[in-house]
Amino acid sequence: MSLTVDQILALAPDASALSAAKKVGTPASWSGLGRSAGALWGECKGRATYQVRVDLSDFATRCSCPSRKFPCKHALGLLLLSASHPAAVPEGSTPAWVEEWLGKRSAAAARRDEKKAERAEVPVDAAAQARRAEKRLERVMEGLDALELWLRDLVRNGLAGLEAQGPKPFETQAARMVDAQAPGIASRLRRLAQLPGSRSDWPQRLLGELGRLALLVHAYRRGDALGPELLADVRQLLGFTVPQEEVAAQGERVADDWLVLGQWVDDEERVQVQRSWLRGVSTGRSALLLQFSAAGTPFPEAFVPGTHFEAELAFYPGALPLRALVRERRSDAKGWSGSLPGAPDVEAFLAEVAVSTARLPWLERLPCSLRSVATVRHEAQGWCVVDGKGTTLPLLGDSHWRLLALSGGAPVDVSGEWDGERLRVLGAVIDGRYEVLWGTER
Amino acid sequence: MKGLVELALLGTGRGADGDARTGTRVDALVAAATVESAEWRLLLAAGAEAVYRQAGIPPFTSVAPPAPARSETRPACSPRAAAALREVLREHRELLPQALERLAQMGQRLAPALLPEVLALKSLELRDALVPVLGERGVWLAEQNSEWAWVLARAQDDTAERARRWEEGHAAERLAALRREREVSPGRARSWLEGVWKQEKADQRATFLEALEVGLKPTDEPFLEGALDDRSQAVRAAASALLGRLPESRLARRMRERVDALMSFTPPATTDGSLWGVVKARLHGESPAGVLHVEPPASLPREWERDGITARPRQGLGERAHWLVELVARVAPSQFEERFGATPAQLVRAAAASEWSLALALGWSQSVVASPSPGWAEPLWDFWLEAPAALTQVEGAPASFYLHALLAHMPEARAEERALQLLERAGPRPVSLHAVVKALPGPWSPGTAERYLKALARRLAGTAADAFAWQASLDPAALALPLASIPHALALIEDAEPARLEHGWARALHTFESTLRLRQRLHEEIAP
Repeated sequence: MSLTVDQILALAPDASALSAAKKVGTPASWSGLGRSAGALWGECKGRATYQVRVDLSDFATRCSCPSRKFPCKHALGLLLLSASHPAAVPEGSTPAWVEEWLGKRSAAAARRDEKKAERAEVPVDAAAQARRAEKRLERVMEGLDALELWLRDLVRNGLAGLEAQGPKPFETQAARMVDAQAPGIASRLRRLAQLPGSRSDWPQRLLGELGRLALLVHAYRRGDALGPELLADVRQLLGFTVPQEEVAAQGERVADDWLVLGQWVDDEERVQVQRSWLRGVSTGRSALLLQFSAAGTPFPEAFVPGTHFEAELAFYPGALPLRALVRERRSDAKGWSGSLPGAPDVEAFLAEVAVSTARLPWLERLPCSLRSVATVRHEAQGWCVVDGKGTTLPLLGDSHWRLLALSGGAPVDVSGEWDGERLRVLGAVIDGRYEVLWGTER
Repeated sequence: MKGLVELALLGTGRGADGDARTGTRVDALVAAATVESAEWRLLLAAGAEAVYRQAGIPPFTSVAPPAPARSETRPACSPRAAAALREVLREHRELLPQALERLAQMGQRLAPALLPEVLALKSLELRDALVPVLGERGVWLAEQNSEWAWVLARAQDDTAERARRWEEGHAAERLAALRREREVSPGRARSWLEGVWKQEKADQRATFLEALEVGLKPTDEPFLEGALDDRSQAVRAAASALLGRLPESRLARRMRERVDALMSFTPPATTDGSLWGVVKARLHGESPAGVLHVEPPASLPREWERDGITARPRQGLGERAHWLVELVARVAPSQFEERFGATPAQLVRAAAASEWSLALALGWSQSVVASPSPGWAEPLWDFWLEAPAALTQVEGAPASFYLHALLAHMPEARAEERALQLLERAGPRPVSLHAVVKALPGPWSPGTAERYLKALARRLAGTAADAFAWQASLDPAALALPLASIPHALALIEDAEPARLEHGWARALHTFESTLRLRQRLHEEIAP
């Protein structure tokens, strides 16, 4: 399949790689260009000549250049070239150097699977593990007690005073939570640091968030009463991680044709967090694939918005299993066409929000895809999407301008993520074709 | 809930007693929990209430669904054209005017995805070029955002709309409205300006007054004459310059009388053109170009000053020379031809030999750049090229300025020829190649393009000392080379092997190449 320019832009590790890629994305820089059903290749003339390959099944790339960026400018350039000058990249038989790499990739994947299976079978020193776990449990419990005291002090002294104190109190408390081995709480606190004074309804919002934090502490202490799924959620929210091997081995597995509904990257403390929202075409299941990148390193896998692939996902444990990992890919990624699988109207989606929130009260985001909604300005809510019944859902950010431009006011299918208050539109189907809606700034 | 928030803001410790109640079903849950601390109970209640609110977010109903965009009358550009246009928008803005023009010529419109970006463009010239290619979608989209209202204003180009912009717009919009109205109804535009004349600040008055150059007519004279008594020097100078361009104005007549009083011309003796005539002229020490006698006043007469001639010279020019410049610039060059019965070439040559050569050339050059004066641009250009550098050390570097400014006032082929002379010349030049090349309107004739590329190839082959000057000419050349010459240019870049060149050539050629390729792509992709 071929990607649109927007989809390629989404693969770039940063803006400078992208502009460098555009420079090599012209036929003159290339020789030996070709494509097959599964791959793209070509030789790029720079200071030296580099061999560039792209595996079209998952958009993994390989280039002989020494760049540490990934995909490098040559690989992005090749993708851009195949999008802008398709005739320059003709169908051809796969050269040996490409064949070899593709072969190595599938062999490596097989080996990885084997290793995972082995690791799952390795006997662990159960006693030592239990001791470590107990130690951590103690520290977390102590940390939560300290947190409770701090929260109670805040309420006793009044939240109004926070506006003048800046982010400091939250940061101090967050650092304590890191020491107490509850990093999940720490990052929640850091997110609250900028809230006082930032918007007119900050007291209500801050109180709500502090309240949820209190609920989390309360819930963890009464873990026995929660049931195993919700307890798993609470533990993850505090910052207990579930190893990927464990998820792959024991997590709930769902095989389906998975559509990448949309993607968003958040910058958090020198780490970029990428969220890819998936929807199973036949099961209707939603899934969240998280990937992390520190200091400009690449996200390990490419999930391109508006493509779909058959795969078996394994879900992390929880009362509302959303986060998942790809256990096994079973087909190449293909471009999506036609309408999006999703809620028929806003009310149906809000009902889904209610059910999901009831199952997981600390729910932060939910994927959303809505059929046939128009874009409209609402006096009280600002920009919204509106369904055929006239029900609106407020929007986040400024992607509504592109949505309006592309739709011309006509109802279209949109996808995005719901943050509890507003919908951030990430994609839309225009004339049967998926369009990425974020990324105008990239 | 407000009760909870108020309680928490104030602090439970400040005597604000009260039980934490949300007024929802959450209260029952909180009551059932065994929690001793009032603060902790308040927090749990607030948390539960937040969850309750998030889960139960009520559906809102919209006022009315928007009327969709009207259906289009022209086709959108292809997706590949859209990709090329996006590259133009993000990295090659300089190509935007060409791209938009091509789009308009092909009867196409911008792909909708590009609209938000182009509607946010601020340049007034670009906006004019955008209007025809926005399509119904663009107009519709602009209706949704008050910051894009300029589209609707432009689509509706009538006096009422212009009057609105004149009255309500910001400075640039007002100026544009005034100039546009001058094209349609010069008298009305002038009366707009007269209406606000007293309220405007001095620099605004000068700027608006200069706009009267559009559609300048003898009927503007009384207003301009009045402006000669303005408090502001800039306004007086602008009014005076405009009056100088109205040959029948009283000011122009006064200026001509002054020229008559202090300038005279002795034509070349050899009017018959015979060999004997030339020899006789030489024997008598006469110039074959004729002689200009000039005697500027020793002090600035009061009436001259009232007519907008400033007392103080610019740097590098003596007082008397300055007054002469100001005077000459206010007399149409054709008047000199008429009065002295000589061609522009003869007069410029005679001026070059005179003591006042710089002042005369400056005055004439100012006139030529301000209003069309056929036949003058070329001899004046030659003057500036040949003038010794020491002579032209005047503020504002007139030689380098006029060597490109005058090109725009010559017939195209002549301008190209002169620019090429400069390009092919070795050694230092009195003007930047960038400015010269930029002054030639594109697309160039095939012959000019080939000569430019040949000269470039020679520079690439040798180790030219003027590498930077040449590199600076690549940017404007990339915009102006005709499409048919692009393959030649690309082949030349390839042969040059940019990586082996020094002095910044690699980077310069890379930009040159990417601009040329993008132009080719635009041409191919924006096609019927």
